[in-house]
Order: sequence, then structure tokens, then C-alpha cells
Amino acid sequence: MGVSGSTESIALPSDRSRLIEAMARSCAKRGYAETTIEDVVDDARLGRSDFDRHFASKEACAVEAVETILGKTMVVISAAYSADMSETESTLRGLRAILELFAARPALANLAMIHSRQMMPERGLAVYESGFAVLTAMLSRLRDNLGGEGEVPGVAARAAIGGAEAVVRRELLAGQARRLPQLLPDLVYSAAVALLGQDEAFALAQRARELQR
Amino acid sequence: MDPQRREALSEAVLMELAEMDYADFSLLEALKRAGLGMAEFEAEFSSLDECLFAEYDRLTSDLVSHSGAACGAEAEWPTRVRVGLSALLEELAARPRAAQVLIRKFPTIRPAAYERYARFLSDLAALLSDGRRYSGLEDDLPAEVELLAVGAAESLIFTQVDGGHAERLPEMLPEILFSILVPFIGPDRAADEMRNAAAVG
Repeated sequence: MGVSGSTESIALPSDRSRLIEAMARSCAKRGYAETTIEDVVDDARLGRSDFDRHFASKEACAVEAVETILGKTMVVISAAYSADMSETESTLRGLRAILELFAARPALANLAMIHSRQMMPERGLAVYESGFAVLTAMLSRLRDNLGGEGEVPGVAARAAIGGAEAVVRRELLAGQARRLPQLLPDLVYSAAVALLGQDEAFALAQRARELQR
Repeated sequence: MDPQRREALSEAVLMELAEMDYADFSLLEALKRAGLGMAEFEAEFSSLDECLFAEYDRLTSDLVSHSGAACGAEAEWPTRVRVGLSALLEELAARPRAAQVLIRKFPTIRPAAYERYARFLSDLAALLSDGRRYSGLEDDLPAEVELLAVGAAESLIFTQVDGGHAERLPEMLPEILFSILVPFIGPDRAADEMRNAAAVG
């Protein structure tokens, strides 16, 4: 089943994508530190030479796995935005699309949300931060569009997204990725309340509930 | 093991993990730091992992207790949050290597270790349980508002500790407080509390 009706839109050579998926699964099971290249090739049902042909190191494969899910995230966000819809509507649909993507690809989501941030070498964190920046930009556009006012600290957007991410990570850890789309209203509230106020945040959460029907 | 030697072991293990990756962790080095012998260690723990996990549980339990105890029971809820948060940030700033172990070095080991970190965040979230009633919006707030608030603070704390700037955390109290309070009471009231915290600080 595609995400929001879309089909896989990033074509990768089959062996490479199998290795990436296998890396994600192995990290989710064993953690990056204790995952070996042998674990990955065994899971992918490929040989060590296949791995070496595509990746210079374990880290290179893991980083590319994170970049893969980030790339897919950008695709689903872009697909959600439309000139025929309001900025608000596009943002809500974009967030819904991200949650649906993560629900459909839990191992890659785990790699992006948990491993890249705290369980991989620094390059993983750099990719995570670039994804974080995309979400921050979405939130800032929404605030500009809705005219958020009031004194909020400069770190409010980061904190708002951080709150939502904590709940997403908890679900991924619990093996409940399929529940992620149901969390859309609460995550929208968390993302919006600091920058737009409680009334607007509740209204957006309600709109998110309607989108789920 | 007597409490003093246990404390020495605790500190030595955390310092060794702060300085080395888990793969390079030297139990012998840690024991040397603590002034303990292997026989004494083995009388207490069956493995390095058992020791590391026990130490991490002690660290997180102490942080949660320390923050919760600082809150007091009589002040208004936002004030209790401010005081508890201040205690936590001061502790992390005073022990930057323990803070590194807390958010990075230990969770990295394997998923079971990361789960301890997630549990620590849940334990902190439980300290905010009175916020729902204080807000007057009990049924309207998200089911996970406490974890949303803790996650907001964690994202700011994480950035500083991971960047080697744990010492900055106490001065960030006002904005971190804002981020915790805002999902409960909205930005205007949270900003008031932020300003109060800045004035008190």
C-alpha cells in the first residue's frame, strides 16, 4: 500500500535497497553499535561482496539508510502541498503523510528518529538535524501564514517539534508504529500551541481529526 | 560493598563511559579509578553490563527524585515545575560527563539501553501530572501532554549536552520552562512564567 495513495518514488537498485532495509532492521533489533556487516548481509540474503560493492563501511550504509527515509519524507511532504489548498491544509496533510510513511516503514523510521540522533556516529546526527530543519521550516511557514503573535522564545519551534518527536519515538520503541497516524491531532497541537496559541492549536487538532476520517 | 566504595565505583564507571565508547570501555581502568579490585566488583556484579545498567538506573532515579523533591507541595504548579526544572538543570550542569552518559553514551549501547533513557523521560513526565488539572482543560489536552512537554525540554537540553555545553543549561531555564508549560497553559501564561523565572534567576 502506498503512502497516501502514492507509490514508491525513489528507485534504487534492488541489492542496494535490500541492504539499506536490512541495515534498518538490524539496527532496530540489535542497535547500530552491535550490528555487523555480516548481520546486514545475512538479513538481506546477499553476500559480503555485494555489500562492499555498494558501501565503503557499516556507517556509510546506515547513513544512506537515514538519508533514504529523509528523502522519502521530503517526497511525501512535497506531494502534500498544493496551490489549491491553504498553507494550513497543506501542512496538516504533510504531517499526516509523514506519520503514514513512518507507520509503513517502521525500521527506517526507527533509524531516522532514534538511531541517527542518539545511537549512531555524528554523521547520522547531521542527517537527523537536516530533517529536523525541514519540520521547523514547515512550522515557521504555518506561523507566518496564520499570523502567530506574542512573545515566544527563539527555541520554541525546536521544542515544539521535540515534544512531538518524543511521542513518536515512544511508539516506535514499543513496536506500535502503526498507531502513528492516529496521533496526528495530538502532534499537531504540540507543534502549534507555542507559536499559534491554544485556541488555534485546538482548532488545528480538530481539523487533523477531520482529516483522519 | 559499603556505600562509600559503591559511590566511588559509580562515579568511576560513569567517567569511564563518558570518556570512552562502550566498545573501548575498560573495566580495569574504571576499577583503578575507584580504588577497587576485581574480586570486590565480582562480588557485586556478574558482568560489566549489569554494572552499567545498574549505574544508569541509579543516575536516572536520582535525577528524577532530586527534581521531584525540589518541587515542594505548596507552591502553584508552574512554580513547582520551575523549581524542579532548576534542580535538574543545575545537576546536569554540575556533572557534564554524567549528562553525556545520560543522553548519549549509555543509550548508544543497544536498544535495551535506549529503552532505559525512554523510561527516564516517562518518569519525568509523571512529575508533570498535576499540570492537567491546573490548566483547567483536563479533557481537552492531548492524552500525552506530559510526554510532549518533557520531549520539548529534552530537545533543548539534548542540544546543549551533546554539544558539550551542559554548563549553559541553568541560564536556559526560562525558555526551557516555557516549553514545558506551554502545552498546558498556552503561550501567554507560559511567557509570564518565563519572565518570572528570568527575574528570579
